[in-house]
Amino acid sequence: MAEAPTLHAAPGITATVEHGLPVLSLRYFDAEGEFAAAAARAAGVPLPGPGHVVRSGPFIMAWRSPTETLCLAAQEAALAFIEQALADHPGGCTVELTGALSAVHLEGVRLDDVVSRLGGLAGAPAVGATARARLADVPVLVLRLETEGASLLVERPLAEHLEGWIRETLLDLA
Amino acid sequence: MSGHRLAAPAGAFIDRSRTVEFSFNGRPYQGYEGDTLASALLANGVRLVGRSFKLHRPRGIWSAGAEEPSALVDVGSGARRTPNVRATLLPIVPGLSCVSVNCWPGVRLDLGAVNGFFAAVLPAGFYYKTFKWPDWHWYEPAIRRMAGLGVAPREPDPDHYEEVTHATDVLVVGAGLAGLASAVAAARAGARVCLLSGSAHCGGALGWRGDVEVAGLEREARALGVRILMRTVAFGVYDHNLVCALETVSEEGAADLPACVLRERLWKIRAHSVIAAQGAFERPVVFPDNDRPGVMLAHAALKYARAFAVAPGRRALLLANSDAGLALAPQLAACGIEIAAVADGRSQQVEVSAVHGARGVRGATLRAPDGSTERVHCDLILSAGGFAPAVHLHSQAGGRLRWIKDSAMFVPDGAAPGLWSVGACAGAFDRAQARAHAEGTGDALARGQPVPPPPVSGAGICPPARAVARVSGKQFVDLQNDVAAGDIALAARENYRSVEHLKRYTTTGMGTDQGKTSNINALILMGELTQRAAPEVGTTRFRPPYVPVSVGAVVGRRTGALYRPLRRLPAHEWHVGRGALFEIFGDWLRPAAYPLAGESLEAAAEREAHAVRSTAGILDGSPLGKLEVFGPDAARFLDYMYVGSMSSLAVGQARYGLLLNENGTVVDDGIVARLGAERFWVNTTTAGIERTQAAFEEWLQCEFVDFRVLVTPVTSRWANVTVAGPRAWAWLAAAGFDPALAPAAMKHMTLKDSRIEGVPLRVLRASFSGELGYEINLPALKSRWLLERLWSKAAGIGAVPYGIEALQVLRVEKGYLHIGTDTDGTTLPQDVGFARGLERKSVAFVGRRSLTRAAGRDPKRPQMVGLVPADATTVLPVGAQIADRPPPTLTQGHVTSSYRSPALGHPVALAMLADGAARTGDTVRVHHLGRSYAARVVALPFYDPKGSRLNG
Repeated sequence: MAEAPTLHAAPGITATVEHGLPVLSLRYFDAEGEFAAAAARAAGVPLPGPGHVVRSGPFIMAWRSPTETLCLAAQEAALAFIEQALADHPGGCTVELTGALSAVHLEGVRLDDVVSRLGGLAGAPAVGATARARLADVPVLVLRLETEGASLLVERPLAEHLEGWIRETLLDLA
Repeated sequence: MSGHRLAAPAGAFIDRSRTVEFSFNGRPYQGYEGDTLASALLANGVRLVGRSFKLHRPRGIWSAGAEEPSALVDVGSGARRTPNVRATLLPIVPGLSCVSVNCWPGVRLDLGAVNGFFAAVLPAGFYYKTFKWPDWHWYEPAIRRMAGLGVAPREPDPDHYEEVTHATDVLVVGAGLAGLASAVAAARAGARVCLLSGSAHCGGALGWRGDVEVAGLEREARALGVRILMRTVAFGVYDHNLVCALETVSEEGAADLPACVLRERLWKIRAHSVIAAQGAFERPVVFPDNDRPGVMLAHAALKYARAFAVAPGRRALLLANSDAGLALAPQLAACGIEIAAVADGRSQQVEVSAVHGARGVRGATLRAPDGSTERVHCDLILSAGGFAPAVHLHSQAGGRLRWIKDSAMFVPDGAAPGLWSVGACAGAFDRAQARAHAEGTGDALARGQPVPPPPVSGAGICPPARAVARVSGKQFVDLQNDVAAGDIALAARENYRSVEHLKRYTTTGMGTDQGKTSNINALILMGELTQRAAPEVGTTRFRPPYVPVSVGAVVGRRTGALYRPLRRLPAHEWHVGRGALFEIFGDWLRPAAYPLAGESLEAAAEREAHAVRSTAGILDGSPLGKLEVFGPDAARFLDYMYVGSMSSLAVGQARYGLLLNENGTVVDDGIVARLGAERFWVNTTTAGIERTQAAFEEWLQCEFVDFRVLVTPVTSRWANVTVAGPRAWAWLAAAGFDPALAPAAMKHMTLKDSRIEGVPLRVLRASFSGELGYEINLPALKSRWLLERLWSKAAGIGAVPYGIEALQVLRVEKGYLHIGTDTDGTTLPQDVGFARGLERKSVAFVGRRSLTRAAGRDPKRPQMVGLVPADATTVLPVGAQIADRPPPTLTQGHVTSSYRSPALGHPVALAMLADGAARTGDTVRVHHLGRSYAARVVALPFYDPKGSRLNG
């Protein structure tokens, strides 16, 4: 993903925020069906199972529901390739969501400390997992691709609220 | 001076090398690091600490823990003032400043003590019987001023509070011997364990006795990786083993705090299993004037002596109704407190018939069963009436209780769902047995094996509390609320038999201590008075919080800008640059209007509305809800969901629809456009997107399960820039829009894909203003770019930006419905002019059958009408009632929307009026807050009834 500006930092943790995230929603009726298989071929990786996230080349594929996988990329052009490959393919559709989501990236050994302080009831998921959570009073999809790194996906109009909460949390951790 | 400091080795918790200066009621004092305010005051000989709630009686320090009912103080000043802090738990820190609560002008001379002279006419429930004539409100201000204890700060709290989520296998609440033993056993068995210690020291009652067993367990717990949270009190158990606990982070009242500190932390701990190990409270003995400063729980006195090296008095009378109480005598004597007498209420049946001393104990009179009396000279009366296990969390978790008659105490009756009790709070007072049981419990829970039942033993024989007969003086049961044995008797005489009613009538068990030392005695006395045993009386329901929780901790970070999540427009800064006045609409921060210098909101809205009717205006409609509905059954599904047939739409066509629930009630509206054979674009209201999406998903997942339809919310993906007015197209053309979008080439209620400089657009010709209108949907992050592009051409058009208020003016002129403003939870489609639409639709839709009910066909139902004030100048108040006479009377309807119309030159209003469709031309009376107006019922719309302006 594109380099994002630092939101704040505290010992053991850095937060950066990225708006305008290139995202494509892959919607399908059957996760084992032809559309999902075509999506996997285009992305070069099987669609992740329930609650999982995988990285493949320029793509991050994140499970969001039994009928939806989010495809994230650093560039919109990469998503256009997937979109084209799936155009008019039966059994599902793609929905352009670029700009709809923002991401707050958390990196550092205190990642779990920060996520546990965001007012939710769930902690950070395990590496390779996603979690739908209510953090900072807003719905967030947490993607954890590394031990010391996670991305919090939030609807762009609500991103400022999440950022504000994280900023204050890091101030208290500093 | 009664209280004084004892010599070493007493004082396990204090550091005598570090003195701490603090003030109490404006006077300076010294203590040692590790002292609580209570121990430091006792060490300085201060006995009078506060005044009671109702009668303003002098009160001292009664306990040494969370159960303290009397020694409450306000800490700090200004924004950091914290009311009603228990002196028994407040560590002294340099610069600490505290004052007594509920007294004026001071604790020694308190004018409120005059209440004591009227005590006879202020029994329990007096306020239910008095102050009723002629009107309660005459007395209310004075009573409210007198009510309450401490004083809350008026300034905003400068400090931070955070909440932390934690998941664990085993959560142990309480770090006494039993808690530590169970935590260690669970950790040894491989479980993740979290242990909460309410104080800064592990060990509970053994911590200050220098117990080697405790020290060893604490070391092992830390070595095994048990997460120990100090100064953290669990205050509530909620569904699915969620335990909330409050951690004190920064020192209360410290003088050298920075401008903002992290003050408290709210822990939300989800545990697979919870072990309650909160110990037990001492149950006091009931006797006359048992609230005098110098009367104290016996085990508290021992704690002050051992932990803080403070003798609360020099010469003590020990009232022991329990084995544990009797055992204290030699221990207190060893600490240097002279025991003047020991009165064993069990074998000797000796009672205290009088306490001497007005502001502090100077002696007591003992009365033997034969009536003989003996005066004992003492400055301390220690009360040991047995134990009351802390069953609060067990009870909160849904556990049952059982009564142990010999020890006069309630203990857990088996485990609660997900929660097991160990140690004293389970009724296990025998040390060896309690430890073994606690270890067995921790080990079993970690391994998923059956948990052994607790060995209820060791509390000894303790008779239930009893009021002393034939004596004068109030015998207090609940010190904090001034509830005496006489009040319990009064409640019994007045036939309050339920313990819940007793609590509410007398207020016993309420307040900051929640009856930790009073509940059991109160229900025992109640049982005695109503010829029932304690288990028949039962206990009140234990509810969170176990200890007081500050509002700051509950709120956490939800203050200021983080008070609630608000959505911001993608082009927020552009609107700021145009001078927008922002208001909150459906969780969005949106421009209400763009007032010129000195212009009011109303004037700005009328100017903007006038401009839209004259030339053109631009509105940021980005918050409008948007869904993409895809699938081979999408058209059929939308037919079911909306009043309005969507399956007949050709690609590129759009149609208005009303969304009903299964009761036929209007819950949302919007425009549905067909993007492709199987793909639809659905606009909802701004506030209705979540409920519309939820309704779609519910019907798809629960009823239309065979439908192949996917619903994707895209509100955040697409911005919406609406251009409206007779010169709308001229403006778009000047900005370089495709001529294929011109009104001549594109009909009203059609949608076209287009591009401008490569930016994809979904342009919908629709109008909520009645003027030629274009709703231009484009990628959200491009909306500022488009607004600037259009604005660069605005001057040549005479266009303005317009906000939500102008939009409301425009739509009311046209008689357009606004869901939630003109409708409520009873509005049916036929009430708002859609009767013909219902008749035309041949296929079924959600809510259809409900519309055929008799109530739905009643011609007297409220129907939407237009109102014009008779004087043509008054803007009718929204919410005003329509009736023949001023209220109270049967209403005929109410005003739902009302504005001054710049296009018509007079105010207009929408209203729901009974049989409204048949009343056009009638004059009605509109009533609001004592004023009455005449208004004429008119047909809708007010403006451009033929709709000719829709095409520019």
